Amino acid sequence: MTIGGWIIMIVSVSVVTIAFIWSVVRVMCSADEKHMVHGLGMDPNAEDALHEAHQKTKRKNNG
Amino acid sequence: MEGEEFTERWSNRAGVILAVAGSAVGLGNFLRFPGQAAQYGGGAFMLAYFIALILIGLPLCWAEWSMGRSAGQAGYHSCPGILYYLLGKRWGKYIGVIGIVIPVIIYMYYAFIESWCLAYAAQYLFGGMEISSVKESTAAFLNFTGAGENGSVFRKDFKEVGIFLCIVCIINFWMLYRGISRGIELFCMFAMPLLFICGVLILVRVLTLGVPNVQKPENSLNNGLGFMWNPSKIVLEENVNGEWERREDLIGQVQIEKAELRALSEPNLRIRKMGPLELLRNPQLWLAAAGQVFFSLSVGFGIILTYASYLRREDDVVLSGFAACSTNGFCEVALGGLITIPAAVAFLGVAGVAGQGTFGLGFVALPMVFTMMPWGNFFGFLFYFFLFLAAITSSISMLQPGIAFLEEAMKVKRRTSCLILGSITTAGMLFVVYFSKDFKALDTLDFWAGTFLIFFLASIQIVLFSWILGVESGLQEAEFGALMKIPKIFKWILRWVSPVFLLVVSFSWFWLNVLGMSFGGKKGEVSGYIKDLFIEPDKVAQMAVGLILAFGLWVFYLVIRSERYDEQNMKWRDR
Repeated sequence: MTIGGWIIMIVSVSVVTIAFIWSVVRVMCSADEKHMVHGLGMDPNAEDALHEAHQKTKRKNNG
Repeated sequence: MEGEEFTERWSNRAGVILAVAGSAVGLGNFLRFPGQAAQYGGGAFMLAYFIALILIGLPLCWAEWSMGRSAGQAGYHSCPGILYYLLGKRWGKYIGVIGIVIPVIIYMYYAFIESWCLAYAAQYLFGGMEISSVKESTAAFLNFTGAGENGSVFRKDFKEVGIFLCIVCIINFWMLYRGISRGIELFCMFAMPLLFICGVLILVRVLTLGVPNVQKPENSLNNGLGFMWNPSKIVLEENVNGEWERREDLIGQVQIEKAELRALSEPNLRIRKMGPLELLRNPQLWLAAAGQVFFSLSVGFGIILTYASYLRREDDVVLSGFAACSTNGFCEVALGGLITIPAAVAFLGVAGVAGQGTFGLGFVALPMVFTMMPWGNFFGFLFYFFLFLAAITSSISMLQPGIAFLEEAMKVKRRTSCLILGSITTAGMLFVVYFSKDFKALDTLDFWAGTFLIFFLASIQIVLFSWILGVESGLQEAEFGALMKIPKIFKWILRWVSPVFLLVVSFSWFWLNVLGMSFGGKKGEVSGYIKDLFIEPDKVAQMAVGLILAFGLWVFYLVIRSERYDEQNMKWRDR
């Protein structure tokens, strides 16, 4: 592989990897708890699901 | 019924991003992209690729995400409803038919290819893949897929292929039946991280290959990477009727020296170095790069529109769209660009890779590589399982627009819509599997539905977003609830550059591939796909186009008949 090839490969792979890691970190940092509840299979719009999540958090905080 | 259908939502941001990224990351990232980059000269191609990504890919992605989310708030989840709602014109719902036809037709052949990946993975896992030459590998592939003769899959090995086809269909429809958050999202939350793990393991193996066979030092990882990434190309050309035609790509000192000796003895041969600027002057390179960005991001399919319609009003679309694009870019460039071609060249040399199409590279050349590689069965299994994961996360997404449409237009429950779509796609798939000779049915469906209609729908979408809805209101809509700002320059890019660039690319593609013209005064030739339909009629090609038309007409009929799309029943956006 030529030096030009190495440069292009490193730059291209770095650009996409940095963009990927940056966006993953941004998404993870901004993940909101209300929506995460639904990831467990509950509907965040449903009042009982929110209530259950609230109770869970309360229990967790109380140790 | 309506209540149930309208409350379906994505459960969390990571889930929807993984689902959209899963839809985008497919076989094209790992088989098509490396082949295209190597063919057009890695460095030059990458420059065009990144330009197309910024000018078409990302803007179109943001446009689809925000249009989908906007229409989803009014309860529209399929392309006819979304376009009618956004445009406020009746022709919107008719154009939207294309957004149902494209993914459903693509699914009919994509699931067949997906079953090959699963079958190859299973064969490696249970030690059934015994290949010792390229000839044997080709024969095994042709026999397995039935590419030698129509109907041979049914007569000979249908039991074998049929099992994998059934498994693929069951997984796809089971996930769809479970719904957006408990099916598609949950599946992608597990499948995508697993895909990354498999990809990284294979990447580590490939990057530590060095020179696998010391007796053939030109077959090395270094030359494989060079073939893929070098910005200039050294080619052997042959003089045919006064015109120099490219015969062979040369890589590595040994190969160049051999070719120099050949050129000295044969006056009709010459060696030429093509620099990056010369490669960039080739319009085909730009078309290939733009097409790759376009297809690999799944923009213009109608899938992102549907997926985004299940977002809440306050959900972010800008960061999510960017994250889905960057995940796809990472898989394509960092995994696809470093695995497939370098591994194949390291074992088979440039001659074993050059000129191989997507299927040739993936299902003929690479099985040979795994046969020669230490721990080949394990890495073979890992690679085809990795491809299978990439394919299945895409195929699931192809069915959701159809499911959403049936729920919307026919007012049926998810179970019924899964049954109806399951029956239609199974019939279409059997057509593709039966007419397998030279993959005529598959190839024709891919050309007309998987390429032509995509260019058409994507052009309409970008014109709709930029010129009809207006960039100002479009960006305002996109930035509602956004977790990152869209750089100001994109306002200008979206208004002028993206639509013009996309229209030029679409027109050039049509000019070259449908009309059979050429650039630069060279003599063109009528496209084979047109020949198959009108000049030298091919029954299979005609039936394949008939299948697209029949399905399109049925969707069109449902759109006309559905009360949901009656003017008085539409929930119009505040225009």
